[in-house]
Amino acid sequence: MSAEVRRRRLEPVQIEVRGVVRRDAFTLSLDVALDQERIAVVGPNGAGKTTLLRLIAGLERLWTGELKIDGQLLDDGSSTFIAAHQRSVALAFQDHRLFGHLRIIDNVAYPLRRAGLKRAAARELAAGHLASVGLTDVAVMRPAQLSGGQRQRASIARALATPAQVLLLDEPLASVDDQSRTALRNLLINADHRTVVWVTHDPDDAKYADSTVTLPPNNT
Amino acid sequence: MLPMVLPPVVAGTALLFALGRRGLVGQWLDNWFGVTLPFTTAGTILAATFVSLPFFVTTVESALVAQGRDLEEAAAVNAAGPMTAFATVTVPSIRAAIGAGLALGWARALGEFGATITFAGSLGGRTRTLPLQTFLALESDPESAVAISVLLLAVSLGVLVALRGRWLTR
Amino acid sequence: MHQTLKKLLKRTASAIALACALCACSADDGRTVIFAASSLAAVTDDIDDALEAGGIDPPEWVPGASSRLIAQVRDGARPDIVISADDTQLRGILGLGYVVVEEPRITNRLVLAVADGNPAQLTSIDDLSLDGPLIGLCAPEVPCGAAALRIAAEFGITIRPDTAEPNVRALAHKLANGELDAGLVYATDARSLGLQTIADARIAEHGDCSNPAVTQYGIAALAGSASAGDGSTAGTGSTAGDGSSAGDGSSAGDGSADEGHLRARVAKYLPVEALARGGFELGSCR
Repeated sequence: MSAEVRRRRLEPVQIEVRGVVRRDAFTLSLDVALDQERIAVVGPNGAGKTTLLRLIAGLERLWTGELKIDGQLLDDGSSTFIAAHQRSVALAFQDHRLFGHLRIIDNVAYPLRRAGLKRAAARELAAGHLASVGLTDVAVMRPAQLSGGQRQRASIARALATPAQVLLLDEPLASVDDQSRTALRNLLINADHRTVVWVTHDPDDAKYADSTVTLPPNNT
Repeated sequence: MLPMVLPPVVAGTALLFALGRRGLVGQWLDNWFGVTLPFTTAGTILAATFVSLPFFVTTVESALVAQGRDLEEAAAVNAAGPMTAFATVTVPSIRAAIGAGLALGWARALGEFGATITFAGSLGGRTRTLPLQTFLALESDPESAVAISVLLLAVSLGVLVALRGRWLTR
Repeated sequence: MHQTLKKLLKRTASAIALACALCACSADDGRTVIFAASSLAAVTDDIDDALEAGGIDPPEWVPGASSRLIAQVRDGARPDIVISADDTQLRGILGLGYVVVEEPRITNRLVLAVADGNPAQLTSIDDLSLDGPLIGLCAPEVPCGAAALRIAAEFGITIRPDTAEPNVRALAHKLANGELDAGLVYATDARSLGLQTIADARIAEHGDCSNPAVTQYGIAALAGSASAGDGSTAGTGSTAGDGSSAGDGSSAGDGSADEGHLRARVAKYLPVEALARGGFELGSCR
């Protein structure tokens, strides 16, 4: 992601994850190739949907195997590992993870500041993203003052504000109300020139995807 | 964490054996750099830091443990490297705990007696802490001892009340 | 002898318990409690050994700067015996049931002690005015500090100490472990800790009251405690209670009757041979 300028792409980003994740007693084998622009990830609880997103984002490491984005090796389970902040990947967490000490607008401006923008310019762009998720009213509030649905929208706005080529969204519409859902869904699937991968339990969501990846139950 | 439960005089003795002029490290400090810590204001600060640092560390540590790594992960996927994440997310998000730890440590340092008298001695204007002055004044000038005690009591209560307010509103 | 003492101590303890509400100072096991100037620490082990060799329970020594000990007695502590490094300070407790015991009379004196090997190469007390060496004194509030100030004034030496320790023992130990280069401590402390000293004729003359280095010790004993402990007056043990009615001096007044007991008691716990071995000068200063 770094300070790299978002480039227009004609081809979707190719993401390949083949390998094994081990964490204490938890073992997960993955063999997934994501090669469309809009991908829904479904599967039963414990199948590793969140783990898959965390792997791609760089928050987890493979035990063995390979993770490639557009052919570039990011993780080979041993010596090669590109850290999360150096990947052109954004992730909106299911539990929001907004920065409690920052106003909502500064949460959304956070990745823009990391990309080198001055405070005023970053806030201006952030305001646009907040407007697109319908949160203009609460821009100067702190996360603790927002409802769960509002926080989730803020979290999505923060991911949208990044210049990342890949947007990973973990159950992005789970806690938003029905009125906002359609608008948000449109926003996400129309996120231009990016690959969007979202985890969902909602069959409706999956319908909007170019392809759906179903993770098998993990019995380990 | 040891200094937190260690009797301050023992802490002072430990400092003396480590950093005193004839101490394990102190003799080299003296020989090579001509630096001696006992009987200096720096020594007093060192003694106070030694006994009060654990109060700061435990307060901040428990805040960090309670917070987990969630926010650092959020910073990482938003392009913040480890140092940036520490400065822009970790530190600000526990600033209440940092403030509380500083206040606790400061209050503990203000009341420092045992480690100071053992390691840094007692000289007005250089190494004498308020409790040391109180102790001496009790014999010659009880009124001033009472005055200093009341001052220290007020400061301690102030710190306690300030922190209590913070804990209640959070 | 041993049995008598035990009886005496028991009765002492119960009398004190009856007499004063503030008997926290009394050892729980009935042992005699002695508030002793810090400088006595140089000889207490020796005295304990001597007493035990003679089949006598050693007393409970409570060491501290004399001024602090006196302050504690004024605030309600009631040790059986108080030994002050400055006999004038004893006057402060005479209305509280204590009587001065004239024997043994002991003096001490300050000496110029230096760290092992005399690293700062001091040659006389005049060198205490140098800025280079790390100099320690006792705090002016305590007798050894007051004596140090008298020496400085008498001989025109400007001393800017690097530390003013709360008692002489703390000072002596900092010289012993080499943290300080020089200081004025009692001859007894220098001897018991094996400190190197620098002879200076101006403060070396023993026993001369006019010499600022010399201090005359004072000893006081709790009047009631001995009379209650004396079998012949056991029935009037409650008179010990008068000690708590302080101030009127009556309890000190009946001292002539038991002064002998008090003196014997003090002599028992302060054998002059042990004091002399520790470096105390016996007899009054002149």
